[in-house]
Amino acid sequence: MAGLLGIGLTGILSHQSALNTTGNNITNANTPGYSRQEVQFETQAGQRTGAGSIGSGVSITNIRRLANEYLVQQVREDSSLSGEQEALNSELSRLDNLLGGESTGLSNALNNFFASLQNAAEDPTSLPQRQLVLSEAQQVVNRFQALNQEFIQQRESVKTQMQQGVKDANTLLKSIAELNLAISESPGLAQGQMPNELMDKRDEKLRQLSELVGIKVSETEGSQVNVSLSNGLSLVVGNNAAQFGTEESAEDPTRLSFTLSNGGRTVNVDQQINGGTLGGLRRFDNEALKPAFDELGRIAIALSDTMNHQHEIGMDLEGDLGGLFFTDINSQEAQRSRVVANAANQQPQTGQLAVEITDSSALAAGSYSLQFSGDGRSFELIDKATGETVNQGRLPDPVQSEISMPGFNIRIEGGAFNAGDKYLIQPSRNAAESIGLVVNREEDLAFASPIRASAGDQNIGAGEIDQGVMLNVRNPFTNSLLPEFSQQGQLSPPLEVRFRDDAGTLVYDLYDASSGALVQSGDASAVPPVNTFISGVSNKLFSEDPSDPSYRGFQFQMKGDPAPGDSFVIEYNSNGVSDNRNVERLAAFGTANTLNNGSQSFAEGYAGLVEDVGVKTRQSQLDLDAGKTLLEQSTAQRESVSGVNLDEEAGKLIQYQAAYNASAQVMSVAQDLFNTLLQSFR
Amino acid sequence: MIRISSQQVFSGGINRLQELNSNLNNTQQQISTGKRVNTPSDDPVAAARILKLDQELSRVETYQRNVNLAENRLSQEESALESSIDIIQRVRELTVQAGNGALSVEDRRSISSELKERLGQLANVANTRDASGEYIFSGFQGSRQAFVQDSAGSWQYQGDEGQRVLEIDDGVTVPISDHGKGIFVSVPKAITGVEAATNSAGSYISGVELTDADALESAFGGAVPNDIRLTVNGAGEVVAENPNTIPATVLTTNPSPALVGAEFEVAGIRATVSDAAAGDEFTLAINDRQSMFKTIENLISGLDSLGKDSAKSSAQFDTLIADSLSNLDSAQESLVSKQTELGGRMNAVESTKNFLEDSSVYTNEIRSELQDLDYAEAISNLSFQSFVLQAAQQSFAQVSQLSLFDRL
Repeated sequence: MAGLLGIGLTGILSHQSALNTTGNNITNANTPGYSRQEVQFETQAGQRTGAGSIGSGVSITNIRRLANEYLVQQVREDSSLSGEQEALNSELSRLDNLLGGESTGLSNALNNFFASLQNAAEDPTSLPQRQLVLSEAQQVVNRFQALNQEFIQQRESVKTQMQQGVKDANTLLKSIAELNLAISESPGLAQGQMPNELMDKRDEKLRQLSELVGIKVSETEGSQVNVSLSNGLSLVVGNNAAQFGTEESAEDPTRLSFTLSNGGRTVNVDQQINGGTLGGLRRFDNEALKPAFDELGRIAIALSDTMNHQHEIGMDLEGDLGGLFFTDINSQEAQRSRVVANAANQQPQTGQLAVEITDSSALAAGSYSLQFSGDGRSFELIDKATGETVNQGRLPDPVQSEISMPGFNIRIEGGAFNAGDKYLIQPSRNAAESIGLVVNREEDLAFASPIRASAGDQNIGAGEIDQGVMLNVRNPFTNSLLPEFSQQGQLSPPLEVRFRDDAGTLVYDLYDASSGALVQSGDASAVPPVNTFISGVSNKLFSEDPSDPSYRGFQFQMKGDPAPGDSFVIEYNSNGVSDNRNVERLAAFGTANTLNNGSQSFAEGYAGLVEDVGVKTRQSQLDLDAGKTLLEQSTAQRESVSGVNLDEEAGKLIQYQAAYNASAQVMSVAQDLFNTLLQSFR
Repeated sequence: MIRISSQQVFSGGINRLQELNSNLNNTQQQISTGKRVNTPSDDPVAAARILKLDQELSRVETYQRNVNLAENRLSQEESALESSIDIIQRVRELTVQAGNGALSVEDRRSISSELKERLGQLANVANTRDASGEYIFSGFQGSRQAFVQDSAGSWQYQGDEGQRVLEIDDGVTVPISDHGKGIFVSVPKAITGVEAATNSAGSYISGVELTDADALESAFGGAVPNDIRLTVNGAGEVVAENPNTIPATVLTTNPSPALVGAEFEVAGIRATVSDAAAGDEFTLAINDRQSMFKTIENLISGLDSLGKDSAKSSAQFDTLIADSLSNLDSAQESLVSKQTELGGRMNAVESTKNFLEDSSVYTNEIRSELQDLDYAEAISNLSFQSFVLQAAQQSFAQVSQLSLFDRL
């Protein structure tokens, strides 16, 4: 009877525990990271009798946590993926909306600007039309700067998010290390009795950490876990947690790079941060934001360069040469701002570099890393986007030299370079920020061309001369004004083309129209012939090749049948206020293919940027959907093992309650038996 | 059978509802903006094309404006030319009238005074200004008056040979102005005989007339015909030379030798040299140009000064009338040919205008295909999505109410 009482008691106690566990499951049904628990019953050792073994009740061996380490790991990996995509997508969407917006984008401003030029061509003296051109040009400048400013804001917001993410990650790392300690010290561990709630907490912290950055988790002795970055750098070892940090990037001071400190040692782990929110932010900066800066800058450079050149060879309302339209792309300040010396370069860091844009149409939107090696004179230029070496060689001695790339030159101005020194070369990164309007008076807009030609009044032949085309007012090699244009408001010298019969061939002599001095005489018998006129075709007057001695910065075409003695005068277009030749050419850039070696117009260049970001955003949207689905699936799988089902728990509650009641009945039977026995002896 | 946790029932349900909500919101946004592509990521390729089409549309709009402006300018120029032609026509009538031998000096004076009026009128037309006050016939120098009177009272061209060209479509340009030099100044002049200043008094050349243009061409052997020098030698013969070659080439005359006082022909030109002494020199000015103004000015001064008292002056008067008529014909021809050219330009502008209108319609169509929403599809989407959302809400509400605890 005592046995029966004992058996009943074990049943009551065991099922009480089971009911408690079920109750705990029910109450934690909504606790994140909670794994349902289950009581494991076992029969107690029986009493051996001659007839065999009589059972002595039930006992609880373990309260088990239902968790599958593989599924938990899967959830972590998918959390990293989805965290990365979420950060990437939210930043990309912002950029996408900014660039594509009708009022925020660049397209409208560009279209309006070129339309205003096109319309001004009809009446080049009209000051209101000129004023419109100026204000539309200012609008283009404003759009460039505003877009760039938005990019900068987004860059700063990414940096803030990085810093916040690092703080969160550090808190999590610390908690994980503490939980490791607590778990390893929990009693009963040696008997295989796990501290279930601590394990759940740690798993949850690990999951949260994996949302921030991709991690690897491995179990070690004492049920502790070691956490490391995907490449193996340790974040948590036992109860020791490392600390993430951010610092100004040595390569690019506008950026942050990640560091990891452990035991007083700090290493840069920028390259190792993959996955998770932090990885997503890094990817956004590298794959979308930096290229957007570069691309927008490239359009700004090409626009400034082409407009400036055309405007410089024009003539304004007051008869002066045009000068700059937008800010000079190759000012010394601009050239130097395109190079950033790595902060980690060897002292004394005297190397002085500058980047000059040589051909805006050939310029690609990109950034490069210039690295020195060996004795400090061997260099290698690496494209940051592809990681490929695009140029390498040795600097001559003395050090002044140029490294030529398509569209730009890296000029080594002097100073010492050491092995290991790195320089960040970003030809177009800051261009959208530094673009500005130089012309500020309506009268200074150069809508005319500074040259014109006229036929002599006494000409008897049917020769014709066109009004000429300006090529340059500067010598492209020295960048100084050509002698023809060295004096304000005049052509030096004005020229007279006079035809002459040279032994049966029509040639022309060039005279200085003001002094009458012979400048160049034609010669039909020279090899090659000089200044011969061929009837029936268009004859080019002066060379278009700047290295040719007959280069004058302009070119005329003569055709028809001039007679000997006929003359044409080429002079400065003094008073030529109604001339619209230059504004026609300026306006033509609205549709001309000037980018990408002449395959893209400005608007197409910008549309390319919009499309590029649009494609990336769309891709990230799809990736995000996929990532979310994966996460949902792996969470569902984990839930199907570890999640609490209330119906199930209700069932168990009934089941255990019944067993509890029955056990109590057993005790009551034992008592009855005892009473029966006592009464029988009364 | 897979285990479902209670949390899954709820979170799964809520996730689905959110997804449906977001889809519904997307469709709703499309309907409210009328656009299928709201951000570039909705359809990146279409977004880039839309930007390009927007540019195309604004380009077409600009060109359409330019077409209208070009039309205005061309018609202004045309009406100026029309007036000039009328004036030249009237001047020609007056010239014919003046040629009437029976006119008295007073009659000539009154013709000459009307001619002066007409000359001023022509100058006014040639100095036409556009809406912004620019002289339309001054070439590049619109701020300078095209024709001004010099100290001697004759009208001189002040401008240059510049021409304004306007782009009315990609690569299609149309000249919207012409310089006054080409229209009013460089008018071919009839061949005239000019006396050297040192000639003996009373000598004159008359009856200069081109009879055979081919003969003139061949006399210069392919080169452009230039002036011919006529010298009277000691024998009273007129010797014709081409002074442009070195040494001067002697040209044969018909009859040969040509005699003073008798009509002769050289290089297809008929002329008579009268009352000349040995050493007298005359030039047959060929291929020269003279402005319309000069033609009328010459006529006026001739009418005012030439009498009919001597054989010489009467011959000079006849020559003046004949030359003037020929020069006025050339002037009219110059104006008419420019007018024809303008007509051609206006046709080109007109056809470009039509083309631009068509292309604007097409571009708008394509743009709307890319960007605009198919409302029928969107609204049926919307009602389907709301239906699904409703169903999901109802089923979620029902399923989430199921609990064994309710039965305990």
